Amino acid sequence: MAITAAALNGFLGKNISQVCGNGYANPSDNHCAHFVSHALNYQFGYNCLIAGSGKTPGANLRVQELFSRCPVVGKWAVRPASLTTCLVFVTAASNVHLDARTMDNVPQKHIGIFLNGPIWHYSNAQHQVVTQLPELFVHHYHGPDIELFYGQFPI
Amino acid sequence: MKSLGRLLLCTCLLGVGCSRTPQVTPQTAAVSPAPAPPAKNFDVQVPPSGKEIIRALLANQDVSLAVDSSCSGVGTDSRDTNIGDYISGFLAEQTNKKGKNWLDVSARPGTPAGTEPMWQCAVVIRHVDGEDRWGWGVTFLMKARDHTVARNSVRCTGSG
Repeated sequence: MAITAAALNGFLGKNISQVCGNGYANPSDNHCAHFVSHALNYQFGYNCLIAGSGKTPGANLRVQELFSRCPVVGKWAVRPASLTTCLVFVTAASNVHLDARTMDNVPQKHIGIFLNGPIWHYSNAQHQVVTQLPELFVHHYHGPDIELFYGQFPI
Repeated sequence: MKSLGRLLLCTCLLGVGCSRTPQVTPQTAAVSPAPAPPAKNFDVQVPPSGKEIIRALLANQDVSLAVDSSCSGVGTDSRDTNIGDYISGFLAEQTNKKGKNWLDVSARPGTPAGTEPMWQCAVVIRHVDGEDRWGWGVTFLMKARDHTVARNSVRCTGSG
């Protein structure tokens, strides 16, 4: 089922505790991959059913696992124009190995859902789902090596 | 807590830096190996202290990341192979003084069915600096009677 802007807008302003049925909602944890996986129903790998206390279907918790599941990944600057909806990652380029389709589990990595312009993602500082344009999303972390990467939705 | 993090990192890297095991030369070791320390007995009703939990984690740093699927790909470097590598990677991130760093260390009853009393222990290395927010660590089972770790119970926790 294709994700829609209306469906994503339904998450706006929500805290992860309102999204996750498994009680994995510690505000000191990073919930960026967690939100994306609930929104897109990615249950594979290490998920909130394993890590949490509930009994609802789990959602994957880890950016690097989502990245590796994308059938095609690349630098944002060379994203095909036809790819109007995809996952978007922000991290230091040195952590990304495009040939191997892997991303190191460094702390500073973040993920959102790109759909026809804006990116929906979980702000761990604001503790809620927000939208941002790619031009601002790339500044999620500071550093000369920070870049955006795209990934086609995992199948 | 930053100091504790640094201490943990140094101990991980040096392996025996803070060990109570006497230092012996290879020649001496060949003739007279150091005896194994006697097993300690603990009150099974009293959970291990934070220090005991961290000591147990350090003692089991050689557990392979292949111990469980939760530990697959958790190293900050793709060449990481064991729990010591994994934990060291995140402790090293705390060398930056910006933001807030701390450890969450806990123990709760966690005896699996049909086994002797055990504690479910957790160590999480945490950092918060605005959007830079994370907590990565491990859980493991510790026998209540002698505080030894069930090495195959090690799991890797963390998200983001």
